[in-house]
Amino acid sequence: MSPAAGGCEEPGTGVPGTRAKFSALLEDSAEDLYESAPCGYLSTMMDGTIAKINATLLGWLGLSRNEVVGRMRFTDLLTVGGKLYHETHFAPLLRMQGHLGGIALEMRTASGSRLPVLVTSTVKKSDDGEPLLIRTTVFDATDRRAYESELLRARRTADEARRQAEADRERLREALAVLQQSLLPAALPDIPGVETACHYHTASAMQLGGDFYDLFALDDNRSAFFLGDVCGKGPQAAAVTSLTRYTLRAAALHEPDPVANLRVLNTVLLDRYTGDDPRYCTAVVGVLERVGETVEVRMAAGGHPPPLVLRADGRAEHLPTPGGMLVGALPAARFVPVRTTLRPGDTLLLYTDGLTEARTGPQRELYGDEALKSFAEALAPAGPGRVIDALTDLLRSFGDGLNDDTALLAIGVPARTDPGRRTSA
Amino acid sequence: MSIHRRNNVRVTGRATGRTIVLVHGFGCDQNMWRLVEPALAEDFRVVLFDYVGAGRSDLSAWREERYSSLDGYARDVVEVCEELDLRDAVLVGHSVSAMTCALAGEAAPDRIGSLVMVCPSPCYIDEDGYRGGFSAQDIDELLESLESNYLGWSAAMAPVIMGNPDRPELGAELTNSFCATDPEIARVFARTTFLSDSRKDLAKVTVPTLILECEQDVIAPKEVGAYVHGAIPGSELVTLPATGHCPQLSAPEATAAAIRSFVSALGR
Amino acid sequence: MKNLTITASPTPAGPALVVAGDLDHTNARQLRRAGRGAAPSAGQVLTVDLGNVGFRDSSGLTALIALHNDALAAGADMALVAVSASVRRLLRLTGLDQVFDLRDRA
Repeated sequence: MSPAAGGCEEPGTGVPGTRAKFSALLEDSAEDLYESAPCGYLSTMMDGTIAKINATLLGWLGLSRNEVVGRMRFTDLLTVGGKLYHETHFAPLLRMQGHLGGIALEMRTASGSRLPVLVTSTVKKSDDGEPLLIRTTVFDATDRRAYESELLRARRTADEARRQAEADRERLREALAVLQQSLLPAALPDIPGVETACHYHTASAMQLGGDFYDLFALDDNRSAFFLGDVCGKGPQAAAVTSLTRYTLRAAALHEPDPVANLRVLNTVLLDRYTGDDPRYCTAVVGVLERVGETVEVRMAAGGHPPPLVLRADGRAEHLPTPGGMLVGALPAARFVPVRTTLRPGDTLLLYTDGLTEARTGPQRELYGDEALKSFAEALAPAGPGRVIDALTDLLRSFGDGLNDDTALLAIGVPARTDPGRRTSA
Repeated sequence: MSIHRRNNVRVTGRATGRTIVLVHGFGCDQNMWRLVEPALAEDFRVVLFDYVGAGRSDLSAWREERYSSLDGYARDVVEVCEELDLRDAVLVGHSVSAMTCALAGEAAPDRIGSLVMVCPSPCYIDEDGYRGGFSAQDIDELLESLESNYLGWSAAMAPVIMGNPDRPELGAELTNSFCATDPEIARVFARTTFLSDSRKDLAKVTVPTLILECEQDVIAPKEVGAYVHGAIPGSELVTLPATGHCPQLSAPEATAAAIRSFVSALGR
Repeated sequence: MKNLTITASPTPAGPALVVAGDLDHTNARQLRRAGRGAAPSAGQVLTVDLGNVGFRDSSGLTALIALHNDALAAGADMALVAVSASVRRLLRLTGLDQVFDLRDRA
């Protein structure tokens, strides 16, 4: 490329032709720049009367200088919406600040069309601070406004989609909560001579949990209960939970034998969910029978953490069911019976592994069976209400270390209220 | 949340003087009164506040249902008067707030003794021979103007706008944020203001009333001033040598002088 | 959470899977697929090395049960190798230690 062709050489250093071009540029007077600048210029008195306006802006508006200068106010150039915005925002701001930049307004041209503009104004003041006049620059913002309209439209669409998504989410949350409630008893029934309490912790409002429990009377002296945990989560798990719950209820009413009840459930689940999609649960099933002031408990467990008893004398003991297998996973599953007697002041606690598998402490270690036993020992003797309250607090203290659903069911025989016992407590 | 914090209430001026409550209109906040406040504060006790949703009010207290009618704004006025246990106060309302103050006066007659209406308009839209100056489409245009100027408004500005008493450097309102409001809130206020029709409420004004209008005002033209004057029995109309819709900014001395002479003539 | 890797190799006694990483509901299907791909024939033993596996939820157990069901259906057997103490505890709690063939080495 030859230097002469460049036209952007340093002045005086290049060939004579370049210098001539630069001189021609210098002839571009301030007056001419004002009149034909690529933006509109406008000076107004403080009351808005237009005192000076450049040819560019007159051209845009299709107006002559005579029509405008001394006859129109700045607001006369605006659309009605622009006028309102000017009076309620633009003018006050300019008065307060002396300067205002990049305000979007619309002007009305002589032909009636609209001209979107961006306006910047500065108040010129006298030496003693009196405002004298307002200088305004006007940029044609047609393209920019079209682009902004697109942006606005996109934002409205996005806002609408977000609102819709939030509404859908809320509906789903409500539906899930109702479904979840349908898998649990609305309230535990009153069983004469027995106290009960329960708690259900849902790990996620957006996910159906798989834990379940129930307690119901069989006849005047006997009642049945169960508590368990279905593998997996979500709607499929909820379907298994529902099947499990109604199967166990029917089985217990038919024959109050916990081992037999688990066998029935095992058969039903295996029959319904075959090889490729095994669905199983862990469960403790039991029958309570009132004998005098004590309650005989016969239970059977399959693959479930061992129940715990808090004795009236302050001890706590696990009731292990070694060898009890998952229910619904294997045709020849074995279920292990265990029995205990609840005397006044004793409380039986059933729980799912959400409690014992919670992560705790800085090392995020498993909370575990032994820690739970120590916790129970510190608590004992305690009735079902107090046990569940204490465990609910414990669950809360796990914070995000508790990431699974947890079901708790406590069944106790009220403590004797004889004075001797009270004073020794 | 106290009304004080909720409405960013500020009390200045002579503690023993008659109380004047300055009520801002649509668009900005209590800073609208900055240029008249010093002159009024010499003789009077001056109360300033921001409507919920404006200026440095508590934005979390804003509810669309409440602020979709002028009654909601009037409740703000009444609650500020109650908070300060005002009696016989002078309410000075600008623009739409002239009507808000009339409603407040009706609701709390013991607390409000007289009204100053600055550039009032009871109805902005032309209807049945009444000339408000605008059509319903014009108001849609304003909403569009608001919208296009809010493209630059972002959540990042919110803390500045909401104000932060612990950080006065943010409080300097000398930025475009002086008139910036949450777009949702501004849209509701604009709609409520410009679609309101309070003409029938004017006749219920029984307290001494001063109407201030400007020589040239696109929002509240002189016909409207005359209409308001005619509708409020015994009212006084003063035309200020000013243009535009905000004489408290464009002609602060004349505005303050008119208010002072009106209040001084009220007697105690 | 460690990524799951499964390597399969044939041995004279039958296919062998070496599983490493954390098993949960997001990746347990990988183990199911790998087991189906290994497809032990009648009389063979599918060995699954669990030496470096953590169980994050019940889906790991479900996958093992499915693998076991498949193996039995094919007339083959399944053995678990190098089972960690924590997985052993889980197998004991669920009674599966009585069903699965647990071995120290392949």
